[in-house]
Amino acid sequence: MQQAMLKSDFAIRRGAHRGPLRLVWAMGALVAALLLGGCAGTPMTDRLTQSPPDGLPAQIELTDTPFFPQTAYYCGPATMAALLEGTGLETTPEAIAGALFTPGRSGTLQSDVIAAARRNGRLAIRVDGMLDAFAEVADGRPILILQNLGLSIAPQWHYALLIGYDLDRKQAILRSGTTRRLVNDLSLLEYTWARGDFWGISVNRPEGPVPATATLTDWMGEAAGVERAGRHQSAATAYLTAARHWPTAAQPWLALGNLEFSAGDLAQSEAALRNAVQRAPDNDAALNNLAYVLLRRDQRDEAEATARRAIALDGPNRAEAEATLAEILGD
Amino acid sequence: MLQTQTKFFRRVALALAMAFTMASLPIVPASAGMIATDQIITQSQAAEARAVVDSFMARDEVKQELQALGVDPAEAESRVGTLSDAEAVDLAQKIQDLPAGQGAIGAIVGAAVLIFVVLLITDLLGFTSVFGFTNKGSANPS
Repeated sequence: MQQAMLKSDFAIRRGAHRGPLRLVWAMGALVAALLLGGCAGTPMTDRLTQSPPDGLPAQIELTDTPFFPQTAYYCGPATMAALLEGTGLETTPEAIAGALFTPGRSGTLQSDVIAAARRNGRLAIRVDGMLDAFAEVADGRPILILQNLGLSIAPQWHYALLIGYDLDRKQAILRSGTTRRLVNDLSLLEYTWARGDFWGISVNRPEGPVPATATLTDWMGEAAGVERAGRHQSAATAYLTAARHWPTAAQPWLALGNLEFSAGDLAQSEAALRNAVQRAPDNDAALNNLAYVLLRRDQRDEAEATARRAIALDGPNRAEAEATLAEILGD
Repeated sequence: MLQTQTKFFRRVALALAMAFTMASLPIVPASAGMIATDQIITQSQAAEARAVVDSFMARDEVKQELQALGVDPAEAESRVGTLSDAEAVDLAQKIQDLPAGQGAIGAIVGAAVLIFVVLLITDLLGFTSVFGFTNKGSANPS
């Protein structure tokens, strides 16, 4: 079956230089956590079937979700290609496998799934557990989930798409492997997904709509990832989407101001940063960056006043603001 | 001869003193310019995480748990302020993962996990030492 990925890297690295006694403690904590997990049963399934959240439809199936039957270990590329195609891109698992598949691991790492979305100008937004995932599916977003079809001690990692559910029948509907429509008991989904730490994402266009369960930080983090991947236009669109969705937030305007600055458009950068400062007058990063852009635009007096405001806040970027002021005064 | 030697040692000592002074100066990353988007996002993430941790510490059952451990909740709260950004983000994640379970089983599991997180916090703050991996005072902190 599919060895989708190994999650233990982090754990191994953290434990690498510990003494044996600490290892015993860590093992004890791990066993305790496993036992707790074992006692837990399927609380999310119980919750969803017995007292579902208000407004969650009893059943839904996103039948339009594309499907690529996977070959060999290609469950990562197959599911990701389907999601990307669902957001309006033309692609195939083969076309994105080069960016996704790690031959040495016979699988696809979670970070590569997110990177593949970014490189295609899409935002991979994490869902937080089953309740959020079902809410997003009900809202029209298929969710890419990481399951462990084996046991914790003998994992068989697998990516599948959650495309629907039926709460009355206690069933989940998946696109999985070579099966276009796989019906699982909800409890089976919960067990296998819980062993994958409920890791799941939706793939979103930069134009939005923003997933209801996404926080500003979730969206902005991914939008910045899109920018890092070199998709500047998509990133700018994603920042503007955030600015519309969270009209009082300064962060989207700050990011947009930075992006315009790197693109060399100082007038646009200044306008965006003014929007940021207006929304968060106590954000020293916004003030510092506005001061710097004003300096570049030769508006020295306002640049100085703005830099001094940033310093007076004594916030996390005080040192940078002081350096900016020094440059304003020194030039 | 002796004088030359003394001069030589003085020079070495001066050079060493300068080297040490320079090495112990804080590395100032600040330079004039734009504060990057990634840094801004990380900063606001840390601020959000601290808010999550603070509201967790303000919960009655957490205060009771702390008291049961012989920890003054006010003291714990002020020590939480010393957590690094990364620690605060880590901790906030654990707090947000707490099951909001209903029913008897959910409540029991919830209580056990709550104690787990409280112990984690008190470990981080140096009140208890249950988890080896927190170990803040170690010479080789992770």
